[in-house]
Amino acid sequence: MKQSAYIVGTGIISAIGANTASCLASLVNKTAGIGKAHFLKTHWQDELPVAEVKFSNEDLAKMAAVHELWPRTALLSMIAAKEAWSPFQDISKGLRAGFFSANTVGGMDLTEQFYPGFLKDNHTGDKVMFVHHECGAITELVADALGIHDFVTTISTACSSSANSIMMAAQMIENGMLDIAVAGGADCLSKFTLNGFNTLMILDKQLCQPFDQNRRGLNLGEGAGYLVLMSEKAMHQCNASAICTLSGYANANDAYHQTASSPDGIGNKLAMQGAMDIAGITAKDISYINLHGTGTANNDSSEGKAIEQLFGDKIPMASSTKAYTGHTLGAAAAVEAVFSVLSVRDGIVYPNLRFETPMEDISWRPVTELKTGQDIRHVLSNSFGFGGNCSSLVFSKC
Amino acid sequence: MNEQLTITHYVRINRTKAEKDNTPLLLSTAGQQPDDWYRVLGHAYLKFFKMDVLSKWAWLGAEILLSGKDGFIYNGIDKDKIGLVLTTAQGCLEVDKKYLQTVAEIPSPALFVYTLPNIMLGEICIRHGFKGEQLSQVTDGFDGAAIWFWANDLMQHKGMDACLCGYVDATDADMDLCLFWVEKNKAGVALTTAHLATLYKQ
Repeated sequence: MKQSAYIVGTGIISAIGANTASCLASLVNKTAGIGKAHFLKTHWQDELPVAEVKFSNEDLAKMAAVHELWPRTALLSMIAAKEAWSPFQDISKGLRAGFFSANTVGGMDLTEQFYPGFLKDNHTGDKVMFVHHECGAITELVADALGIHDFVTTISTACSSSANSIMMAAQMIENGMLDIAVAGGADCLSKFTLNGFNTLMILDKQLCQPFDQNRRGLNLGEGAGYLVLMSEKAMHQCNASAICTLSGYANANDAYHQTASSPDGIGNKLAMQGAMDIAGITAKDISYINLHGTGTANNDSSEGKAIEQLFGDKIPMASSTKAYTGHTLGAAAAVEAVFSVLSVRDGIVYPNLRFETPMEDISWRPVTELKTGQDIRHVLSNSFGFGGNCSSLVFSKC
Repeated sequence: MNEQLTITHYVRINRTKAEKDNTPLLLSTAGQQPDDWYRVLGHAYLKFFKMDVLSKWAWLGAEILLSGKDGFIYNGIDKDKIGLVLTTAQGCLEVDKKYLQTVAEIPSPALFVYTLPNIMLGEICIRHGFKGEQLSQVTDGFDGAAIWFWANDLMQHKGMDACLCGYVDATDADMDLCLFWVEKNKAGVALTTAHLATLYKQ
């Protein structure tokens, strides 16, 4: 018999705050974190707004209590994972703990600094700048610093990465393979990702407007988010109380295009329906959808249509929080998982900032004002990645 | 449990020959450019013309390999259990160079999306609806041991019932392709490193 995976803690850092409380305060106060790049040195400094975490690598290293030559993704990962893990670190002795961390950028930020000099003279440069280049190296650094060793893995499936890491963690707890999991993901801004997305012509030169008829594209962001998942046994030993459960999850692929969703969101539909099936609920049970909602013409149209097909004329409250945090890629699903958990906990729904004009090709519109005092029973959180890699998670009141 | 794995079909195309299952392809005079092959094969798959040269050859090779007398040879096999293992030496370098030339002006999104060698797997999977385990690997040249290792592993241990595997290497000037269709408990050439190398070299 499968057991439930309970969510007992969260950790987050993003452009709108360096921990759960400060991010929540920004969400409630409608304070977005997108603007001119300050720490990322790029040709596009003045043209492409980004959602940067407002600390230098040196400051982040002090906050994380680690070496400042860690890649920025690892620094962000450490800060958020530590917030999630520290309440349980010393009281979970004897329990099997796993660290599931997604990312897509790896140590690219440091490699980018190293490479121009090395290209001119291959006798220059310090290998410390690229030894953590690979995505898995980020996870290893942080897992070692957290002292989690029973199971450690990295998932890199573009923008759905951290949904898949949370899904895998839940499956291992449900099947009795682990007692505790810290699961989520991290990604920092880099020239590599900014230029790549710019090549695809899907970056907004202004502040993004998800689910608006006149949306122009996405703003990239950075951050990290983690959930602590526990079995009932682990909760008992740690005297932890559940905020909610991860009741459903699904991953599907719409096998349509390298970087675009199919027009009617086949993969999106499969992921959402699959997650609700596992949770044992139907469309009418969903209280709130945290949209993938990147602000690109393609995503919002596909996602919007897929939702319409699944939910008919009874569309639940829905909003994209990427208007606050930017699109944090490998961290996005985990950042939004934290927001979804807080939505269940506090009975709140976040506004979809900067919404002006309803989309013509869908019949519904997102929530634009903060809703409080809601009875949020089930939150569906969507994360759809390049390669057609689509994931949905369902968080449910216990 | 060790299953008997056999190479039931193969396709071999390079600058001097083109054959399938030890029989010269009638198309062998069609010229070296993938677009010519596409036209001779009489396909209607317009997305083909968007592909980079590596994906084009991989797509064509798969098309020739998988076409049988009565439709596709994978009919009847669960597409979730069809694996794909393709190796390449030069990967997508040709399109990498072309993309780099556009960066100074307007970086081309159409070229950019092909600047990963594993895109050839995606193009074949989208065409045929394969959803099994997949791997793309850069090797120094044709490496029968590497192809054997992954195809064997996918079929013995990872639940695959069939596997399209082999080597695709392509630039605008040259190409070298050898693809194999591997199945369980069928008559044919046993899947071994030596047999893969022989079919490539002969």
